[in-house]
Amino acid sequence: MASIKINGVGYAVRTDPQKPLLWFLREDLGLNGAKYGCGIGLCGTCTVLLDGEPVKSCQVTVEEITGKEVTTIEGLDDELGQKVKAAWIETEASQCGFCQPGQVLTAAHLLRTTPQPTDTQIDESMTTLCRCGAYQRIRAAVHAAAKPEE
Amino acid sequence: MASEMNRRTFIKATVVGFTGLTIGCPDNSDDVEPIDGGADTNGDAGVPESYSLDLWINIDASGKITVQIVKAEMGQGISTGIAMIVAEELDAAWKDMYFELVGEFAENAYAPYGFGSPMTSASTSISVNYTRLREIGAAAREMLVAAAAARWGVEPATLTTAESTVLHPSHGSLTYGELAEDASNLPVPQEPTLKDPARFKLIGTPAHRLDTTDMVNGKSVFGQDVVLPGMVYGAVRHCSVLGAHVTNLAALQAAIADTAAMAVVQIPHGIVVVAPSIWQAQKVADSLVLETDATPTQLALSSDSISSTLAECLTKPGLNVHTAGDAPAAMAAAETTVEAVYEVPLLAHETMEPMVCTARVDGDQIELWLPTQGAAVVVRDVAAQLQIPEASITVHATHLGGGFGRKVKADYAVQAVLAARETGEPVKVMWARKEDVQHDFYRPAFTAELKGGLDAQGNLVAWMTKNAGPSILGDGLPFPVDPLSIAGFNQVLYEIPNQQIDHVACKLGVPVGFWRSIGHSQNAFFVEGFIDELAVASGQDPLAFRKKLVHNDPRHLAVLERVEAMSNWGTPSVPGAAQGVSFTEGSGTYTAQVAEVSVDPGNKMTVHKVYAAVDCGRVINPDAVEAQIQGGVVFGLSAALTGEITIQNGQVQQSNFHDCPILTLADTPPVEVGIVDSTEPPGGVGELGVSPVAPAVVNAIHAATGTRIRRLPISRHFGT
Repeated sequence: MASIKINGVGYAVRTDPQKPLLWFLREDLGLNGAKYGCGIGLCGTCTVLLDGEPVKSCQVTVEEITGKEVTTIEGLDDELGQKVKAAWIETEASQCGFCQPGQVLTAAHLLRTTPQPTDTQIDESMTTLCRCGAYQRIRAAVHAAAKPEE
Repeated sequence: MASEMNRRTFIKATVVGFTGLTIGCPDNSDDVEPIDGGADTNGDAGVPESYSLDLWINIDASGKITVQIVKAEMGQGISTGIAMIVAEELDAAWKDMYFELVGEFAENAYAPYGFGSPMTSASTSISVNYTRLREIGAAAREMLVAAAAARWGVEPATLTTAESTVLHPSHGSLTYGELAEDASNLPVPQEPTLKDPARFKLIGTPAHRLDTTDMVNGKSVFGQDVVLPGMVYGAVRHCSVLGAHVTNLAALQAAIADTAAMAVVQIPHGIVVVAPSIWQAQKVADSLVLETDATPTQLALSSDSISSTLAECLTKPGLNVHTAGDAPAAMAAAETTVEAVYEVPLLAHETMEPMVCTARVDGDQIELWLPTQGAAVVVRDVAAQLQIPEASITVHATHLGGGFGRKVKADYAVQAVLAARETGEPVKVMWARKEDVQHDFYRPAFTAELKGGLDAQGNLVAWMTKNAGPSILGDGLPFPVDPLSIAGFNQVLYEIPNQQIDHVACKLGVPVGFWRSIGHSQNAFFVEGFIDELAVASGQDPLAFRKKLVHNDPRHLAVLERVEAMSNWGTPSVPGAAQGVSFTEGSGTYTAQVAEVSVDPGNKMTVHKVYAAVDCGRVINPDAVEAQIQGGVVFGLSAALTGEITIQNGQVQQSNFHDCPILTLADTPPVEVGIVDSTEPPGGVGELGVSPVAPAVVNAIHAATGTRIRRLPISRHFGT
C-alpha cells in the first residue's frame, strides 16, 4: 500500500496507482482547491507543490508521489504562504478565482526560491493561465508579497 | 413549484438546499485513510438564528447580514457590488455584510424587488438593478427602524441609523441583530425613501470583495467542486462533426462491459460515459469509437465555406437599421470616398472551468448544481427538452470558473439530467477541455462593408455600412433584426449628417452564442477601424478627428480627452512605438482606449501598453471597475492577437490552450484605467474593456507600419 503525505497528513493509499494526483486529491480526499482546466499540463490550474516544487497534478500519478510530500492550497499555511495569500487579498488579485490556487502556490514557490523577483523572473515563473485576465494584479500581488516586513 | 411558493419559503428552502448539500465528504473516502495527524475540522459550532426580511436579505441574531445573490458570480465581483448598494441604503457596517449565491428561478419570483433579467449577461446586473437594490436596502432599513420604534414606543421619525444600529437620543441604541426577528415579522414597505446620493459613504469607494479570502484559500465552491453523497461521474463525448448524432449506442454500451464504466447514456450530439471516477469515465469515453449520422452538408462545413457564405450575404440587400439624411446623395457628392470590407472569425470562450453540472433525480424531482449565468434558462431548457414541468426542477447556483457568456446555455445541464435519470445516481458531468473548445457556442464569424464620404474640408458627411452574420437569438424574434447583431453598429457615436446602416442575417451552420461584449466584439472593430481609415484618408489625427465628430456631446468628448491626457497622445511612452485610439459605448458606459504598439524588423508586433478611459456613470466599486476593464482588455487582446476557431470537414480544428492560446502573464501589457467622475446612472463594466482593444491595436499597427488590418486575428498578418 502506497504511503504519501498530503498537507502534513500521512495516508495509506489503496487507490489505483495510475490515477492522476489531481483526481486523487479531488475525488478521494475531497481537496478541491486544485482544479481541472486542460488535462494536458498547460494551464496550471491543477498546480500543487511536490516536495516544494510546483507540478501539474493532472500529469503526475499517485504511484509517482509515493514517499513524497504534497502541499495543496488548503495546506499552504506556513508564514510565506500566509504572506502570499494576504498579498492576494490586499491586491484583489482574484476575479473568478478558479485559477488562483495555482497562481498562489506558484507564487509561494517563486518567493521561496527568489525572495525579490524581477518582472522577468515573474514572467518566467507565473505561467498559470487566467482567462479573466487578472495578470496585472497577480504581478502586483507577487511584488507586494515580496516586500520585506515593515 | 418554486414559482408558486411564496418568496419567503422559497428563500429559506433555497438556502437550506445549497448549504446542506454541497459541503459533503467525498464518497470514495474508503480508498484512503489518514494514518497520522488528521484533524476533524467538522465541529458543530452554534449557529445564530437567522431571519429573512423577505427582501433577499437575512439578518441573524449576531448581526450578520447576508444578501442573497440571484446574479451569477463569475469574477466580476457582482456579489460585492450588490452588497455595497444594499449596505449603503441599509446603513449597515461593511464588516457585517456577507452574501450567498442562490439559483434564479422564474422571473416572477423577483417581483416587486426583483433583479430584472433572468440572465447575468450584457453587463446589466448593476445598470438594470441599481435602483431596485437601493430600494431593497432602504426597505430593510425602514423595517428595522419600525421594529425599534415599536420596541421603544417612539415615532420612527425620531430614530436614526448608522453602522448596523438604530439610534434614539434617549433610549440609546439597538443593533440590527437585536431587531432582526421583530423586523422579519413586519410588512415590506413598498415605497421606501432613498438616501440623498450626497450622503453615500460606501458607494463610490474602493471595497474589498467579500469572496477573495475563500478564493485564495481554495474554498470557493465552483461547479466543478460540487460533491453529493453517492455521486458518480460522467465524461462527455460529442460527435466531432458539429450537429451530428451518435448512431451506435448499443455497440458503445456493449463495449464498456469489461471497463470501470457503469453506463453509456445518449445525449443530443453525443454520449456521457458514467463511472465511479471521472478519470475512469474519461479514459473509457476516449477509447470508444462513435458512429454518427453526419450529413454531407455538415461534413462540408469549413472556415472557407463560412467566409464564402459571409461574403455572399454581404452582396444581398440588407434590412435598414438606421437612416439619417440622404446618405447615397451625400456619398455621390463627397470629395473623397473610402471603402473597406472587414471580417472576424469564430471565437471560443475557453472559461478556465470547462462545462460541468451535477444532477440528482428523485422521482419526478430534479435538482441541479451548476455554474450558470441563467438558472431560469436552465429550468426552461431542461423542462422543454425533457418534457417535464418547470416546477419539478430546482437549480442551485455555484461560483463560476469564468462565464463570458458561455454559461448562459443549458446544454451541459440537460446532459447531467439525462445521465442521472438513466443511471438513477447523482452524476457530476464534466467536460474535458477538448469538448469545451470543440462544442462551444462560438462568437459568430461576421463581416462588414463600410463606405465613408468626406467633404473638401475633411468633414465626414456620408456613412453607408452593412454588416452580415448569424443571429445569436435565432429565429422567431418579435423584432425584424437581432439587436445583438447590430449592437455598436446601427448607432455610431459620431455626428454624421447622412447615414444608411443595413444588416443581413446570415446562417452559418455553426452554434453561436453570447461572447463577452456580444455584438460589440465585432462591430467595434469594424466601426473604429474604419473611422481610423477615414481620419488617415483625410490627413487628420485620428483622435482629433473623433473629437471633432463628438464636439456637441460633452460626455463623449470628456472620455476622449481623458484618454488623450492619460496616454500623452502623440508621445508614446515607449520610444519607437506608435499609438492607436478607439471609442465605444455599451450598456450605458463609454470607453476610449489608446494602445501603444511597435513592430520589429522581423514583423513581430508587441503591445506595450493600453490606456482605458471609462465613463460608466456613478461608480459603485472603483476597484472592481478597474479590475474589470483590465481583465476585459486582456480578454479582447487574446482574441485580437490570436483568437480564431477554424473548421474543416465539419469539425473544429482546435482542442486546447496549445492551439487556441490565450494571453499569459508574460504577454500582458500594463493597462492603465482612468475613471471619469460622473453622477449619471451606473452603466455596465464587465464587457466594456473588451471590444475597444482590437481597433486600438490595429489602428496603432497602421500608425507604426502603414498596414491596415481588416481581418482578425492579427497573427494572420504579424508575429505576436
